[in-house]
Amino acid sequence: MALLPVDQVLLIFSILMGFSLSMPLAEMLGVDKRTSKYISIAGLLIALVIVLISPPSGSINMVSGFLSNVDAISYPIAIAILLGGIIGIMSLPVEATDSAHPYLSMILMGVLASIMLVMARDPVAIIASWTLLSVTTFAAVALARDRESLEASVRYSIVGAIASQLLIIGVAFSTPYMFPAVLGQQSLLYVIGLIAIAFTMIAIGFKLGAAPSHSWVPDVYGKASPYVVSVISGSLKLGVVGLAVYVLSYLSPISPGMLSVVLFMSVASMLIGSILPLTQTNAQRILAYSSIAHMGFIFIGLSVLAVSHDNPYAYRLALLGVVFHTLAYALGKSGVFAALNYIRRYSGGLELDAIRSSTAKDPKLTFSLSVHLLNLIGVPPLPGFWGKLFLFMAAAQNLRGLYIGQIPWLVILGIAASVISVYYYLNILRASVAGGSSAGGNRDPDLWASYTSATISIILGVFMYILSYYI
Amino acid sequence: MPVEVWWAPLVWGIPFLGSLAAGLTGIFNKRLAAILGSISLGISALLTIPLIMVYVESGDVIVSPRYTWLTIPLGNGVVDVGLGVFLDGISLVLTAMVAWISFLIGVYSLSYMKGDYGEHRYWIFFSFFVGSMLLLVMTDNLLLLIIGWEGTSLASYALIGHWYRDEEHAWVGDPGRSALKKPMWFTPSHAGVRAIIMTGVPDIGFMLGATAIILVSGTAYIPDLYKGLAPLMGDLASKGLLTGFLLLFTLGALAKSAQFPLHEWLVTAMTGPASVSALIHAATMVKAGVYFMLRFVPIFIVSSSIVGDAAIAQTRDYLAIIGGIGVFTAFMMATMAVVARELKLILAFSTASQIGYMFMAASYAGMLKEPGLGIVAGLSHLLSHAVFKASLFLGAGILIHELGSRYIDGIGIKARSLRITMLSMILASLGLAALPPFSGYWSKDLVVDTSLEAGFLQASALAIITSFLTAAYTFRMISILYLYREKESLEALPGHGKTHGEDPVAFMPYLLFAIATPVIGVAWALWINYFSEISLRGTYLHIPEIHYNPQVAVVSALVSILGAALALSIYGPFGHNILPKIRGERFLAAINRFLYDRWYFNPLLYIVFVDGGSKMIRAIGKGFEGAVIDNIYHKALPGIMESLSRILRNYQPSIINSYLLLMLLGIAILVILQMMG
Repeated sequence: MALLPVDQVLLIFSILMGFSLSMPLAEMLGVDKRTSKYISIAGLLIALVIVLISPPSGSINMVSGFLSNVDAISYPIAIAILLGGIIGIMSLPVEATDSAHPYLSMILMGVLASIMLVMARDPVAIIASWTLLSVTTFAAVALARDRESLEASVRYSIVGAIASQLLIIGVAFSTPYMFPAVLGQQSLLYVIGLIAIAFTMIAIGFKLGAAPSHSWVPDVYGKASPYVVSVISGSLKLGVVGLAVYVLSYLSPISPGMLSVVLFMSVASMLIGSILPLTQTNAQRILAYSSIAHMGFIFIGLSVLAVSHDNPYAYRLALLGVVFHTLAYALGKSGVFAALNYIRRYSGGLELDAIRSSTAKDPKLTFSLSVHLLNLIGVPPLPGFWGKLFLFMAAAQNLRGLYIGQIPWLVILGIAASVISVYYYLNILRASVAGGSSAGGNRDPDLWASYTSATISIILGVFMYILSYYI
Repeated sequence: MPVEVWWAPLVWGIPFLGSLAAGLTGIFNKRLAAILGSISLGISALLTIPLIMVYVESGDVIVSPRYTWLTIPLGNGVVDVGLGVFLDGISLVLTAMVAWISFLIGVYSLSYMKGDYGEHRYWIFFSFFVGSMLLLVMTDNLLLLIIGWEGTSLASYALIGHWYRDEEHAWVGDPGRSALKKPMWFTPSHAGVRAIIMTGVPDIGFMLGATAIILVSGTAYIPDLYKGLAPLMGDLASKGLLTGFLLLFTLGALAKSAQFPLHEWLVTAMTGPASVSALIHAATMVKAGVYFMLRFVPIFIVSSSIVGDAAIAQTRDYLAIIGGIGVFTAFMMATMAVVARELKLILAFSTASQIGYMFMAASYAGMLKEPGLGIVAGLSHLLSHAVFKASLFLGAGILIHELGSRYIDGIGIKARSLRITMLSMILASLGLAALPPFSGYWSKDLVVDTSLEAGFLQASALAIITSFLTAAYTFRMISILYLYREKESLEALPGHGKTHGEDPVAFMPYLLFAIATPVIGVAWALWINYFSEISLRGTYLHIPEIHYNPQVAVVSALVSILGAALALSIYGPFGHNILPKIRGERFLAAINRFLYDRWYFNPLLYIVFVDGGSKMIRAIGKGFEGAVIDNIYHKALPGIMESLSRILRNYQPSIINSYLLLMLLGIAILVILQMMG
C-alpha cells in the first residue's frame, strides 16, 4: 500500500531527474565537488527510502505507459539499481576528476533511465527509457577521459547503437502482442514472431552482456575505469533485467521457440563466462567475464519464466531467483570494482602479479574483497547464495525443456559453472591478500564504498529469506 | 529362584572409582594414590565374601537389578543394556579369584612400585584394569562384556609400556640379536603397541560376532542366549557357516589368551613391571579368553542341541579346532620355555602353555557326554594356575629387582640369598610342574581326562608330552636358581651366606599364593565334586560325578617326575653343563636357535604384516593416490580446462566489426532456434 497519496513512481522520477539536472547547476554555482557528491548520494538515498517504504501491492496502474506504483518485479530491482548507484557514486574520486559534475549528472540520469525501463509497459515508454539509458551510459563511460576509457566508450557506443536499432524494431514488431487484454489475442505471423523475439533478445543481451552479444564486455569492462564499470554493471544495466522479465511475459505465450532462445543465451553465457577467464591474468578482465557468467545465471531464471505460465510455484521461484540474484550482483559488482579501483591506484595496474606485489593491503580492503568475491561465488549467507539457490530451485522444476529424461541438466550446468568460477575469484582474492596487510585507517572513498557494500551484503544476506515473503 | 543382590555391581564399580581417586589425588601425593587404589581393590575383594556366602546358602545364582543404561530399539523390540550382574558358578568363582588376587598383587605393588617414576600412572591403570576385568566376568550383558574386554586391553597396553623411557632393565630379548634379519629385542613402548594391536585387531572378529548375535537374537542379556542363540545358529548351520562364524567370534578370545598364532604379544609383554605380569599376564586378563570359552561353550552346546544335527556337528568341528589350537599352543610354548634364559620369559611361555590346556578342556567339553567335566577341568586349572603363576611372577619380580639381572644365569645362585622368596618359588614351581599333591597336578589331570574321554588321542598324547616338558623347564629354572652346582662358584660370590632383608608387604602376597598351592591341591582332591556343583550352577549343564581315572593319574605323575628328573640330571648338583656341547654341534645349535627365536614366528609376522603392510600402503599411495587422484585433480582436470580456455579465447574478437558480426550471427542462431522450437 502506497504510503503517499501521490503517484509513487512519478515522485521517484521527479526526484531523480531533479537531482540529476541540479548537478550542472551546482557546477555553475561553484558548489565544491565533494559536496555535490554527497548531494547526489542524498538524492539516491531519498529515492531508495521512497521505494523501500512502499512494498508492492496487488494493484497495477499505468500512467503514460509506465507503472504508477512498484510491483513485485520492480521493487527489488529498483532497490538494486539504487544501491548499486549509491555505492558507485561513493567510490568516485571526485577530487581527481575534472568532470565530476557532469559525471554525477549522467549517473543520476542513468539511474533514472534504468528505473524507468523497469517500469515501462508500453512500446514508446520502453524505447524512450532505453534511449535515455544508452545515452547516459555512453557519456558516463567517456567522461573518464583516459585513453582506454575513451576507446571503451567508442566500442560501446557503436555496438550499442546497433543494439538500440534492433530493440526498436523488435519492440515495434511485438507491439500488437503487448496488450492482449485490450486488443484481443492476435494471430502471429510466423516471420514477425521470429524477428520480434530474435531482435529484442539480442538487444537485451547486448545491454546485459549476455551471449551471443557479449563480445564487447571483456574489452569495455576490462579496460574502462573501474569506477565507471562499477556503476554501469552494478546499477545501470539492471533495469534491462526488469525489461527482460516484462518482454518474456508477453512474448513467450505466443511462441514456443522463446524457451530455446533464452536457454541458448543462458548456456552460452555461463560457459563463456566460466571457461574463458580461467587463464586470464588481468583481474578486471576476469571480472568482466564473470559478469557474462552472472547474466547466464539470470537467464536461467528467465528461461524458467518463459515456460512457467501455468505453474505459479515455478514462476515465483524463478522470479525470486532473478531479483535476488540481481540484488546480489549489484552489490557484489559495484563493491568489487570499487575495491579494484583502490588497488589500481597503489599497484599501477590490475594484472594479478601487480596486485600481488602492491602495497595496497588494508584490512578493510581484504574484508570487503573477500565478502564481495564470496558473494559472487554464492556462499551462504550472502545474497549471492540466495539468488543462485532460487534460480537452481526454479530450474529443477520438471518443466518442458529443463529436463533430459530425469536429469535436470540446466541445474547441473549452472552448478558446474558456479564451481568453475570459484577458481578465478579465489585467484583474485589470493593475489590481493598475499603479503600481509597494513594497519588500516585509510579513509579512501573507494575503500569506504567497498566496505559499505560489503556490510550491506552481509546484512542483506542474513535477512534475505524474509524478503522473499514480500515478493 | 535367583537371588537379587542390589549392591553386586559395586564390586566392579569400586575399582573404577579407585582409579579415578588415584588419578585425582596422585597429582598431589603419589603414595596417597597408591593407597587409595589398593583400598578400592580391598573393598572389592571383601565384598566378594558376602556374595559367596549368599551364593552358597541360596543354592541358586545371583543376579542384580538390571540398572538399565541404554535401550536400543531393534526391529520389533528393544535391546536392554544395563549395568547389572549375573553371577552363576563360573562368574562367581572368577570374580572372587580376580578380586582377591588383584588385591594381593596390589599390596605387593605398594612395595614394588614405591618411588617409581610412573607410580601415579601405574595406580590409575591398575585399578582401571581390575574394574574392567571384574566388569568383564560379572556382567550379564554382552555389550558390557565387550566394554570390560576393551578396558583390559587399554590398561594392558598402558601397563606393558609403563616404563616408557625404555630403560634396558625392562627390555625383553637379547639386545642386538636378530632372526631372519628382524630384531628380536623389544622395548616397553614397542611391546605395548604390539600388545594392543595383536589383541585389538582380532577383537574385531569378536565384536562382529557379538553384533550378529545381538541383532539376530534381539537381546544382549547373556543368560537369555542359552536358548536365544538357536535361531542364529540354525540359520548359519543351514548355510554351513556356523563353524566359521564361531571361529570369528572366538578370535578375540584366542588373541587375549595368547594362543597360537596370536601368542607373540604375551612374550614381549614382559617389559611391564612384575606385578603387572603377574596380574594381567598370568592371573587374570589372559584368562579372559578362557572365561569366554567357559561362558560360551555351554551356551553353544545348549543352543546347537535345540537346533539340530547340522548345528551340533559344526559346533563340534569348531570346538575341535579350538581344542587343537589349545594343545598345539601348549606344546609350542613349552618347547620355547625349555631354552629360554630370561626368568620372566620362562614364566610367560609357561602361562601361554597352561592356558592352552584350559582351552583344550573347555572345548573338548563339548564333545563329552557330560560337558560339565570339561568345564570344571578348565575352571579348576584356571584357578590353580592363577595362584601359582602369580606367586612365581611376583617372586621373579623381587629376584630380578634385587639381584640386578633378568636372566636366570645372570641371577644364578645369588637367588638363595632371598630365603622367603626361595621357599615361595619352589612351592609354586612344584604346582606348575604338576607334581602331586600340588594343585597343578589335580587340575591338569582333569584336563587330560577330558581330552581322553572326548576321544582325542593325539591331543592327549601331545598334552602328556607337554606335561613332561613343563616339569622339565620348571625344574631347570629352579635348579639354575637354587641348586648348588660347584662349590667354588658359590664361595666366590660377594656376600656369600648373607641373606637380604625381604619386605613383608612384598612377600606376604606371593608367600600366601605359594602356600595356597598345595592347600588348594589337597582341596581339589577331597572336595572336587562340591566345587563342580558350585561352578556349574546356572549353566544348564548336568553336574557330573567326577572321578579321577587312576591310569591317567599315575601316568601324569610319572611323566612329571621324569621331566623333573631329566632337568635335575642336567642342571642339578651333579649335572654337567651341556650348553657348550649344544652350541658346538651344528644340528643341536640350530634346534636351540629355532626354539630360542620362538620358532621364527615373530620375524615371520614382521615380514608378512609389517613389511608387507607398509609396502602395500606405499604401493597404494603411489599407485592409486599418486597416479589416479593426483593426476586427475592436479594434472588432468586443470590441463583440460586450461586448454579449453586458451582455445576459446581465440574466438573472442577485439575488433568492433567482429562484435557486430557476432551479433548478426547471434540473430541468425536465435531465428534458427525458434524455428526448431
